Amino acid sequence: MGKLSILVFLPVAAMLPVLLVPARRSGWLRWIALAACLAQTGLALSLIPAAGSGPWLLVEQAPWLDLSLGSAGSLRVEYLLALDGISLALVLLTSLMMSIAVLASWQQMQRPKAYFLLLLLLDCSLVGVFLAMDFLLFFIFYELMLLPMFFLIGLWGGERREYAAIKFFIYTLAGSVFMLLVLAGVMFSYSAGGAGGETVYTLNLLQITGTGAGGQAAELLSGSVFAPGQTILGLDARLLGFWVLLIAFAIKLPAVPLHTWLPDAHVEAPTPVSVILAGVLLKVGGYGLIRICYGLFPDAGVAMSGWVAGIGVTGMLYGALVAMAQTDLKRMVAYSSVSHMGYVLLGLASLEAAGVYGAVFQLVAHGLVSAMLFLIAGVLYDRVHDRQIANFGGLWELMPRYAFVTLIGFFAALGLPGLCAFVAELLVYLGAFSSERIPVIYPALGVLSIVLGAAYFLRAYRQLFFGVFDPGKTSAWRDKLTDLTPREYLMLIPLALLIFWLGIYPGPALERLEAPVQAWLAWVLG
Amino acid sequence: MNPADGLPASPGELRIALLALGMPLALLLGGLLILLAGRRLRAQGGYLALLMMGLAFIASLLLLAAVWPAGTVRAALPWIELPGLSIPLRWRIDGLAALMLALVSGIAALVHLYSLAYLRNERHLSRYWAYLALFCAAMMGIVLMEHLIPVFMCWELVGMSSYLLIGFWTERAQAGRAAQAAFLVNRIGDAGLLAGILLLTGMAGSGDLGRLHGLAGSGALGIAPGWQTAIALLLFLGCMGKSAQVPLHLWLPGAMEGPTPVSALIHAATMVAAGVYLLGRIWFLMPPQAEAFIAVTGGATALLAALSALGQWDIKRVLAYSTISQLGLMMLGMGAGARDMALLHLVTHAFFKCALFLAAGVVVHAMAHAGASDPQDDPQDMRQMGGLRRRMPWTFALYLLPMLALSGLPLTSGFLSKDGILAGAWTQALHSGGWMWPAALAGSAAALLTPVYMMRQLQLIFGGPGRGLQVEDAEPLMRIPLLLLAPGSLWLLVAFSPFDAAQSPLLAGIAPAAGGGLHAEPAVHAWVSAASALGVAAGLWLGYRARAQARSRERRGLLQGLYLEAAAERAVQRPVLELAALAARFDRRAVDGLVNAIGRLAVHPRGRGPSLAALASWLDTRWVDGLINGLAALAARTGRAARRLQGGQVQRYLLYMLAAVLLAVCWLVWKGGGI
Repeated sequence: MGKLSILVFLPVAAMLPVLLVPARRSGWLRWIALAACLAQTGLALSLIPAAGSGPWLLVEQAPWLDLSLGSAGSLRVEYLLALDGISLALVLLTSLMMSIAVLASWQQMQRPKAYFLLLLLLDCSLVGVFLAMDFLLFFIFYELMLLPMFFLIGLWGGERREYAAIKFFIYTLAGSVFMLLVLAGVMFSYSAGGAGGETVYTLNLLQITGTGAGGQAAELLSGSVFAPGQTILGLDARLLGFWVLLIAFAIKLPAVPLHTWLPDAHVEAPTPVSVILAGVLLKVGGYGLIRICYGLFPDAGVAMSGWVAGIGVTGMLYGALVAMAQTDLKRMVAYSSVSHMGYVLLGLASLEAAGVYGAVFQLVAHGLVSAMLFLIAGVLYDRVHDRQIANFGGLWELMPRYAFVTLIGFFAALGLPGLCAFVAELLVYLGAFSSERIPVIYPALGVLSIVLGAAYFLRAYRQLFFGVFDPGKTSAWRDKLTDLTPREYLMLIPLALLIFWLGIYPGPALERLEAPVQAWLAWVLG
Repeated sequence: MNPADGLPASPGELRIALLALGMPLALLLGGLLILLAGRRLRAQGGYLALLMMGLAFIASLLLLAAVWPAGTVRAALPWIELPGLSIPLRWRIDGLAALMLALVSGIAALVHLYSLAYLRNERHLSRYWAYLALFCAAMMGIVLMEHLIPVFMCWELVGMSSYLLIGFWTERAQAGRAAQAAFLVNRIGDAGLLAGILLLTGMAGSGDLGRLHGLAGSGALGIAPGWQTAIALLLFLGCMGKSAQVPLHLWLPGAMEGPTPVSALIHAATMVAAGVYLLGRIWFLMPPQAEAFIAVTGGATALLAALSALGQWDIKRVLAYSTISQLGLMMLGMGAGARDMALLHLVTHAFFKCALFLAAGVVVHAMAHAGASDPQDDPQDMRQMGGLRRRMPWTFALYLLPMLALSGLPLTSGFLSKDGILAGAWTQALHSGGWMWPAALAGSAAALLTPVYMMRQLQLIFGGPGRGLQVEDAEPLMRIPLLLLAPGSLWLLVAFSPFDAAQSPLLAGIAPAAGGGLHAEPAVHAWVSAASALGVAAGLWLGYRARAQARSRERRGLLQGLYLEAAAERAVQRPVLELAALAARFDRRAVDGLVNAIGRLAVHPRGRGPSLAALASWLDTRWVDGLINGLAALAARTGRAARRLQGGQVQRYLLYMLAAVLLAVCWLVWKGGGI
């Protein structure tokens, strides 16, 4: 078993001891889960120096399904995991977020066994998504991700958890169905060229996207569904395929107008689940766009740059405006995610090196920052079970350390230089302003979102922390609103340090992305 | 990497480069240390901060000696180095940069000394010192950095530290509001600056000022004239935000909510000058149309702010408006091409304005102690003051001198630099005409109004009969910085000749960086000097005469800053908030409403009644054929799962669903063969 497989299935292996823990020893569960996540993080960290020729650092490949289709040839589905700088960054992010989520679940008393089982299953599926390079394997992990998330929201969530869970489920399933349509078409479009000239249909994305690893490049069969010039219902098949996949991943990202599952899911989800949702799950959307959507239909991607950028900028501005009108802290943070994930689309659409670096960097940066923001919201909710911003005030006086950590989180989110989100935004704008594929008005409008972002974050900060704490309205709160506990520090400080590190000295991290981003650009523009 | 990248080879230059970069880094580390060890350090935190700033001042004097007047040392370290994307941290020490470093660290050191006394009884002082260190480091970054992207980063950090310092008294809701307004207004400018920098970087292929200067010099910038103007205006928008130009000046009067030493250092002497300084670095990117715009903006700002200053009752707000007015004059100079004079005015203004604020702080401090029994009294309201000159002779003297410099009386530094600007503006107006005429007029009017409102203020605070206030004069610790700053108001700061700024030795260092300056015609200069000397005398007399009615006469329009704030609220803030509310309603009703409607159509909430799920399940049983059916089956399963979920039997569906999805996939794989 290779390192990548261990990375994916380590959480599944940890599910066994979790199952065996007797009910009266339920305190052990969290330690097992934490150990598994930390071990995964450690393994992922050990892969950072991994050498590899070209962009791919590690590839693990095994035959999985070989279906003979008689005279039509055969269909080969592979167990194919591959790691490059982009997936490494996201795997690291996932394992870190999972560790933090376990810490945030430390006091999970309600059905802890089922809870940690689901969390570990989610971990496996997320890492699997980021490593799978066979389209079908990717799809299976993608689907698998949905189930634990559905139950984590639906069972451990807030008051309207069932509504939120179902909404999340149906939205995401709709995305999956879209992806399935394309999957079905791609399944019989590429030939890996087997022995004796028979057609071997393949879903190997390494071969399909011509990255030179995992065997020779696959050939796009003429006359297949997605061959150039083919039409479906009178529409260009490749454009259609691109759009269908774009919609599938835009739901996950989420992009406006496919975003309304996000605020509900976030508000109802418990804090650790929100952390994973914002920190990792949304990144699957961006990752899918990079790997699958642009990977399969690069020509359509180039042609549709203006549209993708437009959707991105719309999301940036719309998300920020809606966030500004929110009174619930978690909802505001959720809409800020909508706004910030628009950068990913804008950066990718620029098809400039800087923009693509920025898009990938934003996936990681937003993961760290939004996780921090949801933990920050969780701190208040844990204490007084209230998220209405207006109900607080004067918290500097009661919780100075919390105020300071929140200051870092909010300023990171509004893109202050020296903190990681700024680097991502800078690179995205750099790419978008110098790109000839998107009209300059898009990034010019997008820049307005840095003003809007500052407006809602600072307003929330002022309402929460400035002024005098009003004991008349909420006298019972004064004793409950205590400053951060050591466990909360343990979750927040690593995030803050990473946010600083990636913001002050992003060079080393960006260098790891160099080979895959260049290869990706060469493929898409080639 | 080209030869300019990397550290300089000669040890002498290397030492200079490292010393310059080391200053802000040491300040940041020191600030962090004070912040983290705040509890344990207590008062020592302040001494440590003062020591750091003093060392920084000495270091900048060393730098000044090393490069003055026309030497330049460049060095670079990589920040982001990727193929096709290079953002180096390149910094440059030349005469102007060294002068600014000395100005920032020198004034900061005095303000630290003053703060030790002024804020002695404050809690959370470690935060204060740390914020100040962050501010000074970021400000030094703006001064030193040569690539525009690092400049922008420091630019924003300056804004952030200003936010923190304005909001230092977190228990005051009003301080929070002012801090927020300051950051947001600055961010509007920053958004423009960022867009301008990135457009420039994209079109000219570099954001490095040294390289851009070379390109512009040889006419090889490669930017269409229209775009050049657009970029210039966007860059200027950033300068407008930081340097409080109309209409982005609205944050500065509010910024007076911060502690007075902060107002002196940041919102009078240094940060607000950053816009002027940046213009002094990017002047070669400004086409004539943009320069005219800058001049007009500057003139309008100077005049509007001077008018507003006439009606203020708050001691600090008068000074705030006068700062805006003086910044407007500097911008006018920049636009008129008298860049060296504008930068000279920046230096002289820093001295006398800082002194004024610190002296005002002494008054406020004394008033607060005198009125400690009655918290209703606003210690900053000048109507409560009067006759203080007898009880506070030191402060009176140390207020009078910088106030005369600000007014522009001959023999002061302000007279020299301000007249340099006005002479430049009038020369430019005579030469190129057009928009320079109203700009020069407005600037001159502002210069004539300055002695009026300053004399009015002096009268309100110190003049008239005593009001029996039990106030004490400044304690020595607060007096020392004033004693050191106030003499800077004399002409000797600028030049030996009290009538000709052009002979100032300071210009030898400023002019090379600012691309020389406009040589005002001697005749124009003579006329301007004579007129302004007379005008200032008349203005002072007017202000002095006005004292009788001063205390009672309320000029509401002027007090409200000509209603510009209300206008901005109505024209910008409210529409944006309404748009936000509209977007949120749209999101809830239309976007989400549509989703819910589709949901109801697909799966009936109770599982009965007509819905797509029911239809699909019927199709599923009757028409099992093809891909469409598979999708419908999935939808139906979802519907059923939803129904069961409400029944409460949820856990075991994990397996069912997993199986369902896997089955569907396998089935599709299998069926797919027949397509």
